[in-house]
Amino acid sequence: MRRVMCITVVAMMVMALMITGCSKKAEPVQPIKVGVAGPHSGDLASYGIPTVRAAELVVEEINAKGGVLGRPVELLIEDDVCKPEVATNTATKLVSDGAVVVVGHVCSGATKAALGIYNDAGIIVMSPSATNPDLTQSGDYPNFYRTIASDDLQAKLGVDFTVNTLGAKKVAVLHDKGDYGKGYAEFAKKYLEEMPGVEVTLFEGVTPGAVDYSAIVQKVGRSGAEAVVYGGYHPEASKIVTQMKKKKMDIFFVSDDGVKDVTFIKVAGEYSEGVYASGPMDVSDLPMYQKAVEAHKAKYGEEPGAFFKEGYAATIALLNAIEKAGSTESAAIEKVLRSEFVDTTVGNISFDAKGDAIGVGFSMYKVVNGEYVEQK
Amino acid sequence: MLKINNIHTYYGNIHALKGVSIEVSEGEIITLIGANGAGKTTTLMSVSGVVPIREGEILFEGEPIHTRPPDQIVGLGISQVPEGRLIFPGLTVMENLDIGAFLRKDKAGIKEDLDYVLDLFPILAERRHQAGGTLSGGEQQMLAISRSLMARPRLLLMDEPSLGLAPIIVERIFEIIRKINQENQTTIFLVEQNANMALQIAHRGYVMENGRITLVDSARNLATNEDVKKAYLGI
Amino acid sequence: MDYFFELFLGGLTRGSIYALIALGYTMVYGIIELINFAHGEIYMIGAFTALIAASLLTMAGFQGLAVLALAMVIAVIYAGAYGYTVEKVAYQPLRQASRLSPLISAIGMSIFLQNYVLLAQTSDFLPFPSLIPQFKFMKSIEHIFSSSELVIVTVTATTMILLTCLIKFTRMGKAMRATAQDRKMAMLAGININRVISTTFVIGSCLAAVGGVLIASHIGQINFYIGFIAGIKAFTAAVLGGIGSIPGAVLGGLVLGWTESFATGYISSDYEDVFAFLLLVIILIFRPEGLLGKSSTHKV
Repeated sequence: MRRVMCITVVAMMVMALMITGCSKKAEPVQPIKVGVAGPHSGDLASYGIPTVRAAELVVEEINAKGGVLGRPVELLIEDDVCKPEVATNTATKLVSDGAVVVVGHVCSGATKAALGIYNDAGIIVMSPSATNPDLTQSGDYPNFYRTIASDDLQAKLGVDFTVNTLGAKKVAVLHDKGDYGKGYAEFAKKYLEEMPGVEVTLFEGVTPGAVDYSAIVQKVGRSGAEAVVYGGYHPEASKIVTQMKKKKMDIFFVSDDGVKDVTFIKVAGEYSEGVYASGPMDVSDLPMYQKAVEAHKAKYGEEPGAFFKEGYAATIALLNAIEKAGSTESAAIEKVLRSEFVDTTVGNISFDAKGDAIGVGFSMYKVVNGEYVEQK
Repeated sequence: MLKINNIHTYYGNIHALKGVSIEVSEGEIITLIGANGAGKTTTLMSVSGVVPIREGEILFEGEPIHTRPPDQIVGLGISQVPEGRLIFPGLTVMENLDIGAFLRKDKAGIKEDLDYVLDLFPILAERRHQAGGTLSGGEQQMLAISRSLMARPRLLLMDEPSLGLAPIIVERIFEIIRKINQENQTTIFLVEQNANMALQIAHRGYVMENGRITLVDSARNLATNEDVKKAYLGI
Repeated sequence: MDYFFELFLGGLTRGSIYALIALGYTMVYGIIELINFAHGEIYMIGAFTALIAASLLTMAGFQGLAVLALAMVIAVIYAGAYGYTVEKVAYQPLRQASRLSPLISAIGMSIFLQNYVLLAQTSDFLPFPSLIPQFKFMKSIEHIFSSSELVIVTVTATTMILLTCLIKFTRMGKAMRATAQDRKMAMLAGININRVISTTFVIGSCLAAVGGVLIASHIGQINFYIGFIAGIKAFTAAVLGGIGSIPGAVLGGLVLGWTESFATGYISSDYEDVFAFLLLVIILIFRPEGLLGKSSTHKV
């Protein structure tokens, strides 16, 4: 008896699904479905939600103007909590729900796991935040694009600046043993070694949180380095810089986005003067960026969070490509992405053959009178 | 002088003392005898305030003391030579004696008592800079007694001072106990398993079984009591 | 040779920092055999108090040494009060419990204090003013050994001597040693052990505050987490030197500081911690009681 009931209930549920499925098909104009995937719950939700909001703002605006290719745009929002094993399910769901392009994923690991599924389905994916260099450079992910610069670009910029602009030929590379800092330092070392006449005098990790760094600072001094390239965050950087200056060691200090933080200047105070750190290019005077931030504030009553402008740019770039291509076929979209520039919240961008954005990148900043000044 | 009135003491859920009443008059030596685990040590620890009582009262010269912390009880003049002697092993003999006089401020009196105990146990004078932990068992017992005397107590509680000592030393110790009682009029409350020796020097005695007092009498009568003889004197 | 000397001085400073914090661990452990995990947090609170006090004092127009002295006094009093309260709230009720319970209580207290400061202040690093003024002492080593480093080394040495004297010669010191060796007998000898234990916590906490102020002033930054990291190293130093021993804590700190400094200087800073803890393991294999620790005398 019970079994019969079970079967009936299941059958009814299945049928209900079919009915909704049918009824959608019956609509006269089919919407263009855009997937948005990332962490929308859990401890990393703050990295994913701004992108969802950005996509919603863009879609609202475009739908108000009549949509894309005369069809309305519909968002399919799926949570991957930044976990690779969840991300594959998320991808499968988006593919079966009929997404034609996907904005996401947010974390590099989850993105890598999901890309194969999209690739098999011929779907283009554009991440606002996955910075892992492999994603574009390995050639394993032909359907991947991003509106943020890859990690190694920063190291490349740091090395170019140190050697060509500052003129240092002997460079000590330090890092904090963390994923981010060590990754940066390893790329920096690689690029330095590729340059003729440049010597890496030291390549070492320091212990984060240690009470002082005098030994490593002395070691840097003994190695005869003319500049230090540091991969890591500001608490250690400020201790190292302070100790270098106190020991009257007057050499260049070049670092990354983890150091380009106002807290660094606040904490290191006078010792922070003359330190170089790279960070994303300043886009705050772009009209589109200002407009997007205003729209966000009007709707949510607060400043947008992490990767908002990259998420906004990715949604615009994808929808623009569909409109220009006149189709939702990935080959056509791809052609537009690679050949045409589009105005976005991160600047006027296009994409190279590997999927990295052209026109997005990092700038070098120098601390001058307690402020970061962009070095052009 | 000391009046223990129907006290109940617990260790966790174990009911160790079940209504014990003992009275000690000024100047006398009383002894509490009984088998292992009868509750003798618990009785002394209750008096010293180390183990709190749950019911009943303990009066010292009419004042209730069971509500006071151990250090105040020492201050009133009740000192204990605990079971196992509890010498501070890392402190020298002199430092152990110093600690005995911890609450006293009268320098002259302390000096006097120091001379007295070193006279009582000359071996301690020889060992004065040696660490307490390096002394022999008998020497440690002497040090423990001396340490308690340094507080100049009016009531001295002694817990098994003969335990684990050679017979010749045991005799010395009991001799000294009697001497302390006679010379200083120090009242002594002696807990012993060696009932034979204890009843020889005590004035009165209590017999304890399973947390209860079962017999009270003069030491002489107890020594001849058939039950006591059989149970505690090994005759 | 110069390089060796520089590393030696660097290790000396680092070791003195560890030692200053280790003294508090070792004192408390010596008395009640409790690893007071909240000690690092008291150090951190001392530094925060000094930071707040120093900014208020500077606003009120004080200058130079006066700010250091007053901020230090306020931090010491405040940290002492914290130490006293922590002991009363988290450890005293567990005096009769098994040894594991106060240990867990200590870890809980540490987490509580960290998060309390995190909420009351901020998770960000804050700049700490260099309260220790620059002064000239030896021209030849000035560039490698600053005046604040000299102050830290001197204070550590002085503190160690004062503490040793306190424990050896004063009445409270005697009571501390008696309580450490046999708590029951200490009670029977008329020692108020609760007061002794409280005093130990207060002294340890005051020292932590002194350390917090000097070290923060030397490093120039603080946040709510500094106590945890410094605490672990200081605890290692205390165990290395023989926990419970005052000179041992200082020796342990210095040995640890030098090991780290030379390992960084001659091998690689990647392995700084590896060598530090390797040393700990080796010493504990051959001398389980630590460098200056006494093997425990068993009671008869």
